[in-house]
Amino acid sequence: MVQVLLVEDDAAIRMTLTRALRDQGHSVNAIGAGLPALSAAVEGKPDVVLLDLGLPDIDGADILSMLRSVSDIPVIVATARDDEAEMVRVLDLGADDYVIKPFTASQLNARIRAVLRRMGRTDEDPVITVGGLVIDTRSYEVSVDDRPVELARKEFELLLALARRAGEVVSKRDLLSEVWQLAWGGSDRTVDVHLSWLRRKLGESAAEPRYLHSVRGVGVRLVAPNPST
Amino acid sequence: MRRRILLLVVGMTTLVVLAFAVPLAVLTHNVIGEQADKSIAEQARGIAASLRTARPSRSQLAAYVTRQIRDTGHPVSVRLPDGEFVGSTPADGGGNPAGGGAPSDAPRPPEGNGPRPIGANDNPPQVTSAAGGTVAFAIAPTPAGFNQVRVYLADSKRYDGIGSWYLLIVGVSVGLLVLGAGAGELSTRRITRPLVRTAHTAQQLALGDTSARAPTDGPREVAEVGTALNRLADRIDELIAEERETVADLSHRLRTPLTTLRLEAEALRDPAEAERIGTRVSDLERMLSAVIRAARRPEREGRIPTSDASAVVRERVEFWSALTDEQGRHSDITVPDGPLRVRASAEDLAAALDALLENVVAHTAEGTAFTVTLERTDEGARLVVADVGTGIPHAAEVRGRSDRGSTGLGLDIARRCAEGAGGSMAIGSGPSGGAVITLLLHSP
Repeated sequence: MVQVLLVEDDAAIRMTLTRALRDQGHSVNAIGAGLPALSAAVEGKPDVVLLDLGLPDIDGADILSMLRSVSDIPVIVATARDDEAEMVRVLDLGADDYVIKPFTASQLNARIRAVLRRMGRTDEDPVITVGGLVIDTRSYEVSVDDRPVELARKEFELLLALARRAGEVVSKRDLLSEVWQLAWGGSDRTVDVHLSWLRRKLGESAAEPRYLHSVRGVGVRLVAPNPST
Repeated sequence: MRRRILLLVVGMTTLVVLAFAVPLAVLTHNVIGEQADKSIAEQARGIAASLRTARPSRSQLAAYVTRQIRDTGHPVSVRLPDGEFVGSTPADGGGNPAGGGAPSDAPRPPEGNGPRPIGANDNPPQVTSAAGGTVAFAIAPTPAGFNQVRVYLADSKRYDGIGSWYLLIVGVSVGLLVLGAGAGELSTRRITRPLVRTAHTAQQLALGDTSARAPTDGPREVAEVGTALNRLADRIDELIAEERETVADLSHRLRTPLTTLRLEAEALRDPAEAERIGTRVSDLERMLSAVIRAARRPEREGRIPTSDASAVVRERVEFWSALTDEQGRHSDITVPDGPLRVRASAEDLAAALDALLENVVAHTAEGTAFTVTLERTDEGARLVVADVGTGIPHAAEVRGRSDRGSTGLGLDIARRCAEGAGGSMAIGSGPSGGAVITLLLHSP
C-alpha cells in the first residue's frame, strides 16, 4: 500500500481525490494547507506527496523548496497551467513529475506508479520482458532480440502501457487515457498512427504481426511471438 | 492640406511680386519717357548750337537736317529768320511753342535788355507736348535773326524699347512665382510626408495591426503627433496583453472545479454514465484549453504567427506515413522545394493537416489512395488533400462543418486555420467522387 500525502486547498477535489485514490488501493492523508502539510511530510514520511501549488497560507513552490532541503520524498505537482514555461518551473523547483488539471484518478495513479518506479520504491520489476522484447523503465531503453530500438516518448509510453498488461486486449480508449491523458474524447487514429510507428520500429507489420496484435473493434494486445512463426 | 499650403504660398508670392513689379513698370515707363524727351532736347540743342556757330548755308543746313532726320528718325525742322522751313514740316505747324499755334506767333528775337528768348544760347531747349507727340524747341540766334529748331517726337515712338523692359519684368516675376511655388511644394511635401505616414499607421492600428508604428522624424510638430500615436499603440498593446492574461488566468482557475467534475464523473458507478458525463467534461476541457491557447497565442507566436508550410507538410505526412503505408494506401505528395511561409503557426497548420489526413484514414477504406499537394500561389499557398474514396455527404459539404460524423472537430480545425491565415477552406469532390479539401493560406 502506497502512502500518499495529498496537499490540496480545494475541499471538493480533496474529498473526491481521496476517495478515488483509496479506491485505487492507496492510503491517503489529505491536508488543505501548506504548513501542516510540511510537518506531515517530514514526520509522516509518506511514499509520495501530491502537491497543489495554490495554497491559502504559503505558496506551494516555497513548500516544495523547503521540503527539498530536508527530504527527497517524491513530489508530484498538480498545476492548472499547461505551458512549457510552467512545466520547466515546476521541475526546476524539485518536483519529480507534474499532472495538469483537470486530471483523472487513473492518470494520477499512473504518475504515482511511474515516480515510485523511477525512485526504485516499488515492488514492480523495473525491467519488463515479453519474449524477446525488453523494456527498461528506469533508463527508457527498449530492445527486441538484443537489438536496441529508438522510440519517441509517446511510443515508449504506449509500448509500456501495453507491456504492463501483456496478453490482455487494451482498448484504445484506455490507451488514450493512460498515454495521452485524454480520458474521453481524443481520436483512435492517434493511437493507430503511434501503433504503426511502433510496429515499424519493432520490425513487424499489421499484416504480419509478432508482438502487437490489433483486435478489430476492441483494442490492441501485446504478446510474445509464437517461436514457430 | 498640401494644396492649401501651396495655394497660400503661390498667393503670397504673387502679391509680393505684384507689389514690386507694378511700381517698377510705372517707373520704367516714366524714365523711358523722360529719357526720350531729354534725347530730343539734346538733339535740338545740338542743332541750334551748330547753326549758331557754323552758320551753314541754306543747302548745307538742308543736308545737315536731312542727316539728322535719317540718323535719329525724329522729324526735325528749322525755321529760318526769313520764315522759311528747312527739313520736315513741323508737326505743330512750326509755331512758337509758347503760343502753340501759327508761325506768326513765333517768338520775337531778343531786343534790348529784355529777357532772352527760351532756348537761346545755352539755355535748355523747351520741351512741350504737341499734337500726337512732343516737341523740343530751341532758338539759335544768328546775325540774320533767330533760327527756330524743332525736333518732333511722335508718342508712338516715345516709348520705343519699353516692351523688352516689360518683358523682363514679367519674366522675372513669373520666374519668382515658379520659384516660390517650387519651394512651397518642397516644404509642404516635407511636412505632409510624415503626416501621411502617420495617418497610414493610424489606419493600420484601426485595422488591428498593433505592431504598426508612426515615423518620429520630420518637422517637430508632426514628430510629436507620431510619438503620441506610438505611445497610444504601446498602451493598446499593453491593455490587450493584460486582458488576454486576465482571460487566461480566469480560464486556468476554471480548471480546478473542472478537476472535481472529472474526478466525480470517473467515480460514477455506472460505466456508461461515467463515459457519457466524462465525454462532456472532456469537451468542456477542450474548449477551455482552446480559450487559454487563444488568449496566450500572441505571447507564444508573436502578433502574426508564421510558419514554413513546406516543412510542416513534410513532417506531418511523414508522421502519418507509418499508418497509411501499413494500410496499403498509395500516396502522392507534392511539396515545393525551399520554405513557403504562411500566416499560420506550425502548431495550427499541423493540427489542420492532421485533421484532414485523419479524415482520409477514418472515412475511406484501407488501400484507398490519397494526394497531398502544397503549391505556391500569388497570395501564399494552396494545400489540397484529396482522396479517391466515396466523398463527403452533400449535407456536410453545404454546412462545411462536419467531418463525416466523427468527433465533429476535424474540418472545423482546418477551416479555422485557413481563415486565421487570411484564406479559406473549400470542400469539393474529385473526378472519381472522392473528397477534395482545399485550404488557401496567405503569406505573412
